[in-house]
Amino acid sequence: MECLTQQLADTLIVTLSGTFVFSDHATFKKTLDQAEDERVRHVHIELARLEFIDSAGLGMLLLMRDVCAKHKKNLVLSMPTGQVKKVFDVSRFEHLFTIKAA
Amino acid sequence: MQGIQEISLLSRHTAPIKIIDDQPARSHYFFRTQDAPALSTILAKPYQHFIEIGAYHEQQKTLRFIEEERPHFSLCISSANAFSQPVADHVVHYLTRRRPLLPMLASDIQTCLQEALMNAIIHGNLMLQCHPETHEFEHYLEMITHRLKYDPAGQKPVQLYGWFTERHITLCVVDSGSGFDLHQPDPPPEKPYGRGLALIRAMSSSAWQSKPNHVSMRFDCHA
Repeated sequence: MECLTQQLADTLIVTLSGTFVFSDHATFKKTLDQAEDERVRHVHIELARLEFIDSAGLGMLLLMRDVCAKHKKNLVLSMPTGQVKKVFDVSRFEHLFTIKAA
Repeated sequence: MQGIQEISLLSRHTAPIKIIDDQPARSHYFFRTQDAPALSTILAKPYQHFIEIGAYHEQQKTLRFIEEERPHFSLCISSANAFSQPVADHVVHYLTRRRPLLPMLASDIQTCLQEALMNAIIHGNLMLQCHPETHEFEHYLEMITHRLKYDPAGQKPVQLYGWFTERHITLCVVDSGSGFDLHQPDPPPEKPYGRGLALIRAMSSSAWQSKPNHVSMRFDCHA
């Protein structure tokens, strides 16, 4: 998985692409740490270029949800498509996250 | 019991595997971990059964299963090797070469296979049952990586078998563990673990267990 982060003012923009599976944890852990920065108020995760996610990837998004809830930050998942959207639907992520549709 | 019957019926009545390039697939390809190139290269070879030598000396069980159940495809690979490569992705490419798959079907197969393989490696073969919270996740991954590299359990095999018919693709993943319950209750939705079996149940046409350490998944090709 490729994970690009960019901080614009108080918003951390995270762009994920490729496949997001268990072995990508180390990469995503750095993003979790960045999200804890007190200057970050909003976390926006762009998923349009993410092609595949497994249950471990879903778990890491839920870890991000925990981090954001703990530090009172706003989290948005943006534009899931294809397999990622289907897995979100199966896992009823719309009840857990703010999801901006494609 | 139903699962055993379904597999037996499939193996008796399915047509011979169709090879797109019209070359008959040879039967068994054995490879050693240290010699092995990327799995994608191995699975590109015109064979039906791929067996990693020395995967806990269980290749005999694989050969017996192939003899008894006549799968059209099989892969026996060590846990360490399976964890380090995108096996589900490579297997879907292999299947696509054998028979065309609609993109959504290929995606469902890849999702279910990924979950079944990770379940087999982490919970079945490494026998790790803990579920990490945020602060434990990094340690959990390190523990898995360390055990796959240095513990004999890393050489325990994950076995994958496939049967193809005109209407269905059936895959069976076998590990060396004591077994699990495919229909165990889902964890609370906000928990960051335990979704794998729920995804298998939701994204396959049907899923069942013929033995506690087997999980079989069927995919309808014309759904």
